[in-house]
Amino acid sequence: MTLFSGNIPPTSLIDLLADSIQVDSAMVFFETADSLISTSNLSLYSVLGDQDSVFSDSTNFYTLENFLDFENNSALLGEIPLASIAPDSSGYDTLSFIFKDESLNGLKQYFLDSDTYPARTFMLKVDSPLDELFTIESNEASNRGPKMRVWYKSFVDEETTVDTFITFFAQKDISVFRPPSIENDDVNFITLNSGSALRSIIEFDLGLIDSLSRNELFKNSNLVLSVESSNLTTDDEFYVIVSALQDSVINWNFTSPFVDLNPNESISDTTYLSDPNFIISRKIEENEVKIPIQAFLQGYKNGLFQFDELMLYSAPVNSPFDKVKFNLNAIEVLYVEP
Amino acid sequence: MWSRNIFLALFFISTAFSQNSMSGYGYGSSVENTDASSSGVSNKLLPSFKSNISLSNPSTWHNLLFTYLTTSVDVQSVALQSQSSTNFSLSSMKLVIPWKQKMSFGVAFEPYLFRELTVSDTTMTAFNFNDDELLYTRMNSSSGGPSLGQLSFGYKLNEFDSIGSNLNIIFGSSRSTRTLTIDEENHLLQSRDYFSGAMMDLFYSTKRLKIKEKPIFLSFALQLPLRGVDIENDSYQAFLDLNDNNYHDTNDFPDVGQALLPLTQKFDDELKASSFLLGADYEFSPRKHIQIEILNWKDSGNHNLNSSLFNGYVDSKNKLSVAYMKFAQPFTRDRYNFKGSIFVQNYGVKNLENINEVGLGLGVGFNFGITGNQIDFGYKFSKRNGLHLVGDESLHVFNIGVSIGDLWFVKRREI
Repeated sequence: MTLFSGNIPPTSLIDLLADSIQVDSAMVFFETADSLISTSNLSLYSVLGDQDSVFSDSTNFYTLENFLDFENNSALLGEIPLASIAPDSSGYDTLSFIFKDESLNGLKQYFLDSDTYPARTFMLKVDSPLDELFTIESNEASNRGPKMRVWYKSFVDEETTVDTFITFFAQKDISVFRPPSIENDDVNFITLNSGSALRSIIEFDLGLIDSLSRNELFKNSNLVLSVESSNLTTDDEFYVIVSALQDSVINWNFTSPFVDLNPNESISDTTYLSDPNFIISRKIEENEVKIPIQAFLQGYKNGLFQFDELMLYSAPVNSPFDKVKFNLNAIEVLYVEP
Repeated sequence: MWSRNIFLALFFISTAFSQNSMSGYGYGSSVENTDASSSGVSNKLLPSFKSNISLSNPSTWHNLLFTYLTTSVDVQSVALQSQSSTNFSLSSMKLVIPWKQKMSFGVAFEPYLFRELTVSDTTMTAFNFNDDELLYTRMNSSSGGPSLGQLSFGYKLNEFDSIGSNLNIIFGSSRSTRTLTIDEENHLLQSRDYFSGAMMDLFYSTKRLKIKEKPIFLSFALQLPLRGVDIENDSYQAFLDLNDNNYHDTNDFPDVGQALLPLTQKFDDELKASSFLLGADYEFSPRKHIQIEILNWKDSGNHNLNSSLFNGYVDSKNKLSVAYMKFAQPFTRDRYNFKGSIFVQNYGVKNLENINEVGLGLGVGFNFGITGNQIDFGYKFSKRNGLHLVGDESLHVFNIGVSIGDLWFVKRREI
């Protein structure tokens, strides 16, 4: 144990366990802009890894082969109900885990003792599934990220005691969720879900375009997708992004509908890139989504796009749990020549 | 105040929409009588500026005492069916320099063909697409036209005979636009024609013939193509003019940066005009003249009609004009020239009906200043029939020309 002298404050978690420090209480708190009424409880765990860094927040995919099994290597520290979460006039509500007495001992043992458990990582988990997406501000939200505040007394000398607190700020965070599973039926439809990275490629026979005169202009060319099934509720919004491809799908190096990614690679690092000259987004309205593609057709005719394929995927703004299956309708194209 | 009112009136007229139906034939309508002094007599070769001078005939320029800079503008009003339109334009600019009453030189700039015309080739029509009713209409328009740069030379052979020539360089461009309007969205197809060619005019004038001891002024002119007019056509890709500025830019569909490059086609010898003019002028009483002129004009060019609004072009033309002239008496109070004329003209049109024209010309010129400065007003009214789509049209052309004289190449007397 480190012994402090003078009035140097604790600079790391383990310093709080020094003989010259008496921890009175602690609070781990999070802020949210969402409202929630639920019977679920939110639990706070300490991850008991033997490494000082247990995850990388630059990786989009988490598998047990490459990362710690957080579920089975953690200690429960506290629990709060999610019965009534509602932002106040500042636009935020606070989720606070208070540690005193018995619960404080657990925090000291499994979290502050970073010599034994160097992960220094909390895990938040609900005890039963929520029926809607509930978000908590991450460390990237300035001043509203996760924090831990510890009130303690520091014995400077025999006559002087400093009664104060220290606040620790989160450095990294990652959300791990289980997306809707990919079923065999999904690949028989145009199925989109950002959580499972389900994308669809549509290839058109655009041979007719080659036979059109150079002055034909495309008008009113809509790709219409009608919703076959989805898990959307009435108020949910779902945006579909359609983009041209920089490389034909025939040149993609996969052998199954499931794209295999290197653990250090994200999907944006792959060669399956959209052509920035045609990326368009539309919302599902009245059980269908109507996407104007005349710019793609005109660009294909003018040689701007080399491939007669379009990639459809779920917009990042959509909930990762929302999954929609579409039916493709025939495309009617109106083209005119002045 | 008077001149300011005239200017305001002309400015107002110039902003109006302009067209004449013959601009839709081939590469446009030819421009006649570009200088205001000859407008009232409806001819080119015979004296109209001074008693023995026509500004359009270099074989008469050696008679000038001074160098003249002359500028003409015209206002053209056309009435066809129940519509009318008006156009204002600079019609010519010419510098004529006589030298020792023996020879003369000239430089001129004037329009050669005129293509200003808008034609609707559909009435408002509707069709259904995806249960929507779309209304559309289509307009064809052209504007601009080639111009003519002219270098002239005149020479007095003897007391009776004189000759002259013009070297005409044809240059410039015209624009064509086809506008398909669907539900108030304009889809434009634009092209541009660039003209280049050269022609030569040869003139001969004589006073050898006489009636009652008074000479008859006879003049001949022959126009020959030195090089047929070649036309380069740049056709731009059609676009949807989203910002309605009639210009293909980054706000249109497709974006100008994503459009195909212009398609360039070259057409050789598209225009190959030749003509013969013969005119006679007789002074039957002091300063009073009777004039007659005939024109025979032919065009043997290829005329592929690539950018023509109508599927026809004028391949021949015959004209007969008869005029009366009363000239001012120099250095007296009689400073006015009066002109009146009638003319008939027939246009032979390939692929379409021939056109007949009957017209009347009136003019007045006012001399002022010691150097014989002159301001000319010309008015021409003509009626054409047999025109494609419109049938008949009436044409009013009003010219104003100002000629300023000065002494050039005169040896100053030393005291």
